[in-house]
Amino acid sequence: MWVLANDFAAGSSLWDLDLSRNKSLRTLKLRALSVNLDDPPDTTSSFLKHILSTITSSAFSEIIAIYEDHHFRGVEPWSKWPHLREMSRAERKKEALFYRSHFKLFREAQKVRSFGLVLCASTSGFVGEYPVQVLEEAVAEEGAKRGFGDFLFEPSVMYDPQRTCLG
Amino acid sequence: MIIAYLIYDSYSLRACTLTCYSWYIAAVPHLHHTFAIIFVPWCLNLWPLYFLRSMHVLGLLPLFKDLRIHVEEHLYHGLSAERFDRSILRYFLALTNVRNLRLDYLDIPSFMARVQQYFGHFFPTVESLTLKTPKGSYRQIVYFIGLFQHLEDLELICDPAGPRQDQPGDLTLVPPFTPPLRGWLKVQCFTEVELLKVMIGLFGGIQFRGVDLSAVQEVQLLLDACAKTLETLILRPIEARGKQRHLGCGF
Repeated sequence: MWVLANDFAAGSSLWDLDLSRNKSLRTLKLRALSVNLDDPPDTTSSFLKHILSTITSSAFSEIIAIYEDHHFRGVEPWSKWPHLREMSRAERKKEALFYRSHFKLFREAQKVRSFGLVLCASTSGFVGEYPVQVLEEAVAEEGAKRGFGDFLFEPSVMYDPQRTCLG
Repeated sequence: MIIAYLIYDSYSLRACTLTCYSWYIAAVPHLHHTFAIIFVPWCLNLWPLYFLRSMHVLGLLPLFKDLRIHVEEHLYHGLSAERFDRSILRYFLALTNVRNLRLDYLDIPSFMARVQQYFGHFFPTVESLTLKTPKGSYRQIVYFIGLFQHLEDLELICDPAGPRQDQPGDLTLVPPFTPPLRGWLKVQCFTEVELLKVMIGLFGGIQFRGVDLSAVQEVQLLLDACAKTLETLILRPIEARGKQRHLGCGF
């Protein structure tokens, strides 16, 4: 069943969210980050800045960006069981660009409120640790190029594999 | 140690069980972690019965921690007590260690008279409950949730179906327990916030530490209800995109 999210969320915009009363908030997790490089990231960036500006919790320290099977070009997510596929050099380059655009987004958001960044590979257990390697390479590459001095702590990578029922 | 490394890779795990008996013993609880009972239109109750019986013969039913029951709503008018005939119920009661329970299109009114008989063995063990489009009034749904005394996580997917107004008899329904509900609240594609308001009222508030809301109205109400306890919030920036239409969630 597929549902148009905007039809449901029409009554209360996420832009009206105010997290100032949530005094214990530690972590913000971001799901469903855009997979399309051509998407203008302005909306996501503005939204993230708006949300961060409403946070007053002193415990707040990190943003976890969740990446799923479809975020990784080397994973065939829509088959019966997600699996790895061969990638060309051009595809690998495009994949690196994808993460670079996300780091840019988070660097922008740092200007509103300082936080640490965690990249989480929440992928099917069938695809093994390939997604973790991709994220670690992205972090290492970004660190070598620009450093992470503006982040609260150096970005880390975590692995949260999803169990699949064989049926 | 090797088995622990492979618990999310069911194919490799299945191969491990053929290595030797000790590997089989180590792998089998992970391999038989999740059980899906699916009522399909073309063979009525025979398909679930076949699987339940074969698992029962192998003594595997008590191993399952994650149980999902799915029924084609448009064919059966939901998951009603009619689906559980005596033969299915016999094996169903052997699922004694279920921690995560997902029920699709649950017709709660049909179970109300003998809910203990059908679901009583789940009440002490279930910690995570998912209800997709449950049928019944708000109070009946909240009453059902309140039967699980150790419930920590709650997931609601899509609006309740069927009669939405509380019936006169429902006003006396009071959940037997106030579950702890200190884990995750996940709500997807939900506009009937009244159900959540009734739940907050009957349980005297909610204390979830994590909230994951997707395409939900009155998000602020839920965040304020968990103001003191909320530690982790999941957001989908894609939902903040003005008038751009997009696919929000898929099942």
